Amino acid sequence: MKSRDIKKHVKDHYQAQTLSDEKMQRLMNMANPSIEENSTKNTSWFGVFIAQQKIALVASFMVIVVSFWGFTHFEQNKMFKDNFTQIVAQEIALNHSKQLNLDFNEIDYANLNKLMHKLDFQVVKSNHINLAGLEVLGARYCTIQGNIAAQIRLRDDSGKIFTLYQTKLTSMLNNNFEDTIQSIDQVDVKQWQENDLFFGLAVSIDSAS
Amino acid sequence: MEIEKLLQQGYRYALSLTHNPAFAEDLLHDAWVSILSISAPQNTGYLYKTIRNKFLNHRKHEKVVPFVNLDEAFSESELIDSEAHFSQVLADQQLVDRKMSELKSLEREVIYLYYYEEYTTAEIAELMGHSKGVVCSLIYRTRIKLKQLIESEMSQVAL
Repeated sequence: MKSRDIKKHVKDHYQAQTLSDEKMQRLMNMANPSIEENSTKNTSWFGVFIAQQKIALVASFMVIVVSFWGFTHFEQNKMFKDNFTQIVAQEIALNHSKQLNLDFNEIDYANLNKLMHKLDFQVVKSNHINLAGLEVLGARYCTIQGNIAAQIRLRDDSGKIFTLYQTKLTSMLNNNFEDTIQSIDQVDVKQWQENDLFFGLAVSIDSAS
Repeated sequence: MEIEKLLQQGYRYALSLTHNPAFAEDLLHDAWVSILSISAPQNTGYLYKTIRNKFLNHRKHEKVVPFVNLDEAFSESELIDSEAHFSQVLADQQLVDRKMSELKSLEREVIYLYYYEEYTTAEIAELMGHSKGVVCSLIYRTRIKLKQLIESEMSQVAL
């Protein structure tokens, strides 16, 4: 053991701490829409053409890979779907339990879309379940599987707190999603899809009973 | 500034406040969403302030009594003069890592900003909303505390 400058110790202490790759990717993805928007504005028609060709090539490749994978691994696919639904339910249950601070308070569905302008979809009222009796307490941005999502906090007449999630249906969510109700860590999570959107509704089992 | 580097710095700053990786990730996430939602500048100054506000807001909700006594002020020259006395410690990195967790949030924050980010006391004062004198005092007292924590454990090991 040798004597060292405390400054070096502190630097080494923090240098060793890094954000996980998964979390970094999610945060980077959230910033991507504006980056893409800016870059498109400054790109020539040739650049756009090349970019489109690349996207088409990548998309074609993805379609071939996914088709091949789906054809040859049907059983594994079913298992993956079940697991994926479970993973998303866990993410929703965890987010619900945290009860993080809301970005927007005292709102209603009418002004939600105006306030949450960073969303890449329009928040809608679900026709799948009856949310009519639930008071909207507020909303915040969040992510589900790395996709930006709206997290809306609701309360019923008896004071039960519900958390409703909405995000755009991605190919990942759309292809691997099962309409389910699951109980995860004392939280009931219902997942469904409606009008090209993914919905999740969470309520703590203690308050639900 | 490259976004990845900015986010990594934000995470480390959040970690200096929380000393809890999961909580630090949540703070960074909330701050980043706020910055994106209002198209705010993507720089360390703005990110740090946003993370700090989110953290203080969270602590307020938890009704945690804030930090340490900030009444006494200290001059920058006194801080610099005392540097030599403090600068060398006989310890391994693991011991220092452990002892960092025993500091209070505000103490870890100034140590992080002063020694890791190499902010000036004026820059720290602006970020934290305190006077330079208070910041100098806080750095002085925190590094003495950290040194004492380390030396205390070293002497116990020696016995």
